[in-house]
Amino acid sequence: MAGSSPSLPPRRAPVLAMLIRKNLVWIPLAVLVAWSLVPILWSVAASFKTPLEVYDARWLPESPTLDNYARVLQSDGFWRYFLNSVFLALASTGLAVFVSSLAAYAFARYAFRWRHILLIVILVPRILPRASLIVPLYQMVESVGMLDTYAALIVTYTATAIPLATWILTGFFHAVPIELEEAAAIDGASIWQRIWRIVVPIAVPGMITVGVLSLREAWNEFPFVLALTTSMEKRTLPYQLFLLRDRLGIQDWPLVNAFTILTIIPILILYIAFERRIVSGLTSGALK
Amino acid sequence: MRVFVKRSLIAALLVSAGALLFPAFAQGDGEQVELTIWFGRENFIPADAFDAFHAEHPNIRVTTDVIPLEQAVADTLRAAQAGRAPDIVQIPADSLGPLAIQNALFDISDLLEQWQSEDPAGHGNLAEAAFSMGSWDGTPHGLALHIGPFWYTYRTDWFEEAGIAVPTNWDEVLEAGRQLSDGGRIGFAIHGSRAHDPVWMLSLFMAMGGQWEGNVPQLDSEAGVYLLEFYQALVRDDIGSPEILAWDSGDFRAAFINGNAAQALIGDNVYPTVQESLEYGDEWAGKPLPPRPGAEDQNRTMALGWPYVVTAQTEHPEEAMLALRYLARPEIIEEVALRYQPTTVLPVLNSPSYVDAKPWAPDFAEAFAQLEPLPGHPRQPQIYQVLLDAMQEALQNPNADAGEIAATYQAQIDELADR
Amino acid sequence: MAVDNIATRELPAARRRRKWGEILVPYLLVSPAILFVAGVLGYAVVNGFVTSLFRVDIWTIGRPFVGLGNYLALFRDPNFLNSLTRSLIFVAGTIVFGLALSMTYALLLQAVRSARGFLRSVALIPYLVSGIAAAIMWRFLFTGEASLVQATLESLGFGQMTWLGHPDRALAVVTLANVWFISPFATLILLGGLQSVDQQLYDAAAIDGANWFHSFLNVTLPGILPMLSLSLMWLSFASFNMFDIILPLTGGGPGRSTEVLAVYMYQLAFRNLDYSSASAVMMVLLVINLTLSLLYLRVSRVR
Repeated sequence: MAGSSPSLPPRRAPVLAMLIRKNLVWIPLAVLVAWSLVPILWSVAASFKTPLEVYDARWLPESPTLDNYARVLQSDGFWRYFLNSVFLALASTGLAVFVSSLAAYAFARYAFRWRHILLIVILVPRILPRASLIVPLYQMVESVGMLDTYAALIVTYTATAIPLATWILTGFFHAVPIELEEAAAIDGASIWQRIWRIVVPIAVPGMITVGVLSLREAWNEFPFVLALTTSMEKRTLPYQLFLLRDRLGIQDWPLVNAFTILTIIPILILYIAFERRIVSGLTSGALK
Repeated sequence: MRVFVKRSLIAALLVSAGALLFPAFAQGDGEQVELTIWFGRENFIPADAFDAFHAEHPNIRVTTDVIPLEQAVADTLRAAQAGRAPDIVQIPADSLGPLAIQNALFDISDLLEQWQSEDPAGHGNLAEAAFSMGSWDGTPHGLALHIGPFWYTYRTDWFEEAGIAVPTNWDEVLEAGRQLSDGGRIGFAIHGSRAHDPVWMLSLFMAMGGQWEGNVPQLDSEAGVYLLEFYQALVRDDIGSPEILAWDSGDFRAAFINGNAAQALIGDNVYPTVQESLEYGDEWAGKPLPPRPGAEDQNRTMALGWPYVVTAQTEHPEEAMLALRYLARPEIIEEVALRYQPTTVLPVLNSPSYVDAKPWAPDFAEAFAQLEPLPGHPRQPQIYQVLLDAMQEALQNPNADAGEIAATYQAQIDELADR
Repeated sequence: MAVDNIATRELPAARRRRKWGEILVPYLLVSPAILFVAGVLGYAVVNGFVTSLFRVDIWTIGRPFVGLGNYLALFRDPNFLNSLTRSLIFVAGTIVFGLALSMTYALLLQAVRSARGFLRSVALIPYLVSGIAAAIMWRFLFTGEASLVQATLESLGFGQMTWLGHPDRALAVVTLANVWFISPFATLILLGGLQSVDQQLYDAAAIDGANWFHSFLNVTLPGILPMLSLSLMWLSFASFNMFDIILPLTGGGPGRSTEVLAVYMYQLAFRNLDYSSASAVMMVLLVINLTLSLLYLRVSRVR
């Protein structure tokens, strides 16, 4: 697959040694790739099996069936849950990225009083267990009459996405050369213009990184939907996956696996599309 | 021009006056009532989704939602604190206690009397359990229209092949399990995980003659110790699954349905699914749970109930009662019972279509009349956790003294109950 | 937190004119974020702390003040002490195994030339799955006699083994699933660190005759120390807070062998309906996480 170096060095033995050494990398790498993929591939395999075949330890089903996917896609409300998931993920991510950009700019460019305290105020809640937020959040959302609304979910999703987003973006904004801004400031650009016309466009990899991470978080979120919604119209795919487990009485593994795979696909496509920018983004100074 | 303006002004006034008055007229016919009902499983919702009800009562609008039974009590309490409880909620009968002591439930005594006088036949269709399982301390709060017993279920073909008689007590169940559990088969399938309330355990307990004192299960009784020894034997003699501690209800049902288990406790509602893969009579059969040897007279068959209870926060108790009466109609409940849980609306159980759909129904008719509800206690959630601890302790230590395990956990249960 | 390392540079314009308007700017920019976070998450913390000082459950009428009573009761409760021990084993296992794994992964990804993008995508895939989905997949890997793990072990000559039904092995499975789920993000952080280490330092070490191990010890490790402490932070607080993988996988069992603190808290609040004890557990978790974060930050500064 790889490893042969383009220009051949003069002597032979070291070439061989180098070839071996270079290719040795692939053995542990193959193990790690298997570690990452086997659980998912096993689940994919199961999603094409019939309920009885699931209990055979075989990778390929004898007669692969798309029936499980058809059942999921045609199940009541599947598209409703799908659209809810899409809407909530996009809305909360947009809001979180906007709000975090402002805060990150302040943290990256200003040495103001309380800077450290405010940074801690933003970051500390991130280390709370999600489950512990359910009861207090329910009381709060109820007291402002926002139970079972998209708004309540968007606000909580945004709040949970802000800490990580602010933190990553601060690194990115800080890496933007200050000279560019100075030039613009002399030309009379306001802070608002400097943020959105100069810093943000340069920090696009950072915005993408933060965006994808928040989308992933919102797409997979479950405890808040469980607690803050009381009607089927507002619920999302992870909630449905949770219900699916008990509704069936006996485990319909192929169906559950098909549902699981379907919920992963959108976020996977999104991630693969932006993969290069995310990693290069993190490399170019985000997490320093 | 002016005339036109004048006329349009008058017309506008008339229209707006009409708009203002119209709701008042509409209210004359009885105001528009919104009812919210939380069902514990999607399957409990009638297929017609209250269409016929809406047609008969145009002023009532029913909104249904699914709040899983496991969550229903916590969610109802939380919603009640926020003043947003549904009008009717479906909960497990044994967890009425926590709701009742928080005064979250409505007393429907008068409404039941009214029903009895208006429609004695409809009221009379219900088995006694329908009322008793919807009551706490003698006060009725709702109706248990669906109840679900677990039956002792076994592979008739395997028993015949091995020449074993159908067990008549739990010693014989274990013995049959020992004989049938080789070659990868499981002798007796049951869950051992903490994923559920210990209702299968309590069903065994009751069948073995277990007693409750003040609604507190007496695990350190002879029946309780026998029960723990039964669990120990499943592990010690390899009768249960080697994975028993991780098995939840889905796993052990699947084991029986897929032909890997000789015996199991299976809920009546799952029988149609069993029938899809095995033939009743030829390959499998069921019967009420047998007794503990020597305690035949204390043997009872437990039933879970899932009553629809009216909450204290409802503003429309009369309309809520109408919805309950609608759910209790034989033609409505039959549709649910045919595909899901059996019902306490007795005429349904004897209807030809029911017997046709569930050919085993006649075998259980007698037992159905004698089902016993699971006693509830206000501290139920915590007591259940201790019972699960005791069960898992027995499963993990198959050679320990069951009497000691029983005593240890009984002390914890009693301490909880005394609080 | 690591942002503290950034020496803040100000615009000269801001330095020259110290008008009130200018001074307020950073506060205005930060305020929406603070409002969201403090309003939603901060509120929950304060509410949890207050609740933990009262007795709030469904059997108590009203909310009597009990001071530290809930905490004292917790530390006398064998189930709590058990879940504390289980948490420590679970987190320590995740950190040791997860850090070794993500470090190896990152080093290998850095070493390969071809198919890098593809391999990096593969490495991060488990992180994209939801907790429930991950739990379902892992349960499916281990449940039943014909499950992938059982069948593989059997073909390798091992007999049938129970995994999720055995207390210690169940904890091991849960730990593995957790590592699978959360370590990709640590890999990503470490990879970012590796790519930012100055290549010249490696060249210099090579000239000095350092072998791979020496240059790893003397160049790589010091270079990625902040990232390392960041990964440690991520691995440890994500594990301490983990419950959505464990609950569907084992439900905290068998026995209470996988009932870590977050699961125990969930059971207290949602099965026992004992909100004040659950809040006290939440505060314990918060204190543990804060202490660990400070510790890691301290370590990463000393170099």
